[in-house]
Amino acid sequence: MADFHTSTHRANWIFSPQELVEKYKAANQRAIQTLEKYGTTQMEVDADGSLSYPEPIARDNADKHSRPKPLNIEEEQFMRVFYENKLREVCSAFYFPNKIQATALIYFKRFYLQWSVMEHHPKHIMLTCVYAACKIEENHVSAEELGKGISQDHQMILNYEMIVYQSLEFDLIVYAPYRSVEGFVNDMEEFCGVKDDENQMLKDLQETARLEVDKIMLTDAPHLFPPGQLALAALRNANEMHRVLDFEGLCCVLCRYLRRILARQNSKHTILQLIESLDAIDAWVRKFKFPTEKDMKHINRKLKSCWGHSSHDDSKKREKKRHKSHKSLNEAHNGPTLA
Amino acid sequence: MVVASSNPHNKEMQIRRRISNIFNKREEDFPSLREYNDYLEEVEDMIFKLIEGIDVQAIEEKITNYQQENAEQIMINQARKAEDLAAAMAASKGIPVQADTDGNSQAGFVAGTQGQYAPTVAGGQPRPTGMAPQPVPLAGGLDMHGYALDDEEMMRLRAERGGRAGGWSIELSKKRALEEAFASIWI
Repeated sequence: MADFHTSTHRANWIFSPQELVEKYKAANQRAIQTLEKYGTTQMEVDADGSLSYPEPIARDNADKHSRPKPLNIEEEQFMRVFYENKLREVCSAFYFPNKIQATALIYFKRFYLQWSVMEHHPKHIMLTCVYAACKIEENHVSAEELGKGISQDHQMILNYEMIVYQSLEFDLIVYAPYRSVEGFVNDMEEFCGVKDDENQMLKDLQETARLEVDKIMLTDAPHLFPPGQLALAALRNANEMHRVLDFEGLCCVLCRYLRRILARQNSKHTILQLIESLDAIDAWVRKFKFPTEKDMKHINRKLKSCWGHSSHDDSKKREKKRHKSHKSLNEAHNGPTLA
Repeated sequence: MVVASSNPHNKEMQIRRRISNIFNKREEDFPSLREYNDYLEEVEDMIFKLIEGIDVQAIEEKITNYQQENAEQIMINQARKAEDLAAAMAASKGIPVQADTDGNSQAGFVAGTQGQYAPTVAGGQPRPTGMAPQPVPLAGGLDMHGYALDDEEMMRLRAERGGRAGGWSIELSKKRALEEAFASIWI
């Protein structure tokens, strides 16, 4: 059941850096085109989960200055990072176990490989991902409770659920590095021949490694490396801070440990490859930038302008609507539905 | 922690707790089994009516009357219950029951129940908020209906034992972590 080797995670969701960049570009391009054609990128989600595309506006109305400017790829990334952090806060507010937060984070990342931030607001997707993660990780929480906890509309979560699953291509079992970290630490206990008083050190190591994994999860690394390598990278960094395996000098001991792992597996990969990957992961973590308040304000404004162009038509169109679930359309910048 | 919707039986549980603190006669208080069963049936009847909301006023009056008439008896029974709790708790922990600790705990318990007793006398209406945090100064052992009252340690033991009874062991979890760790290094 927990077999990474045969999982879809391994088969479908680990990319190379170029593939990743291409995916982001494609989604971004598509959103830009929608913006050009329709004047807004926001997709409407109906109660039955079907997407409806915004209606085309007449091109001659929009002149160069009032045309909204789309977000570029870096800004999208900032948005994503900001909302991933929010997702963490939401999960800790509900006191969910760690695995739910990890799963929801991975769903969120994968969703935004397929779609652009302009097309679906991350706020909704974030909640839907948390909801889906709860279901998958056997910790079901009703949508109403989720909605009540953060005072958001739960109907919206249910509407988006199907779309999220579709975008994940229904590959819902995901592997986060947390359990791998635990496994490695347990293994290290045997390897080091740890005595009782050193047990505490290992526990501390595990805690620090977990924090490192948190950092790694916010970057793009989970798309590029399998969770075992992420776990090893985290452990390596944690080790440097704690110097647990230090008795003979850090590098040697870690090398020995890694060599031992490889020997156990009889794999054809070399230790150099492993160290390369670990270094690459570290590079990603160092590259990581968290958006500032100013950045976020700027991006939010841009996003609103991407959606907001048809907002003055909304009030008229909404009265004509016979939509049963009109409760979910509580935001002014929703585009009109094709009823 | 599972955030679940509230237990549908909460109201019933509160009512039961309250009633069982007041109507706490035991089998030895009755001359025959038949009368004990009749007493129990009466109590169940009352509880049912309170839950369903039938004749609430009449029943509340009955309760207050019973309390005033049998105040002493109620206290004695509560004290007896406390003693039994202490004995069972000590037994489950493998410590011999001391006579003086018994006396102390009994006094403590009676004092505790005094505080608990007062609200029920003062109020005629069911007051779930007053009753819900039922003071259980001594843990382990059984209450009137034979349900074990737990303190934190008992609950922890229970949770552990429950897991093991279901076939779970810590080895399973370690094994899974190990497998996942080593299987997921290479793609």
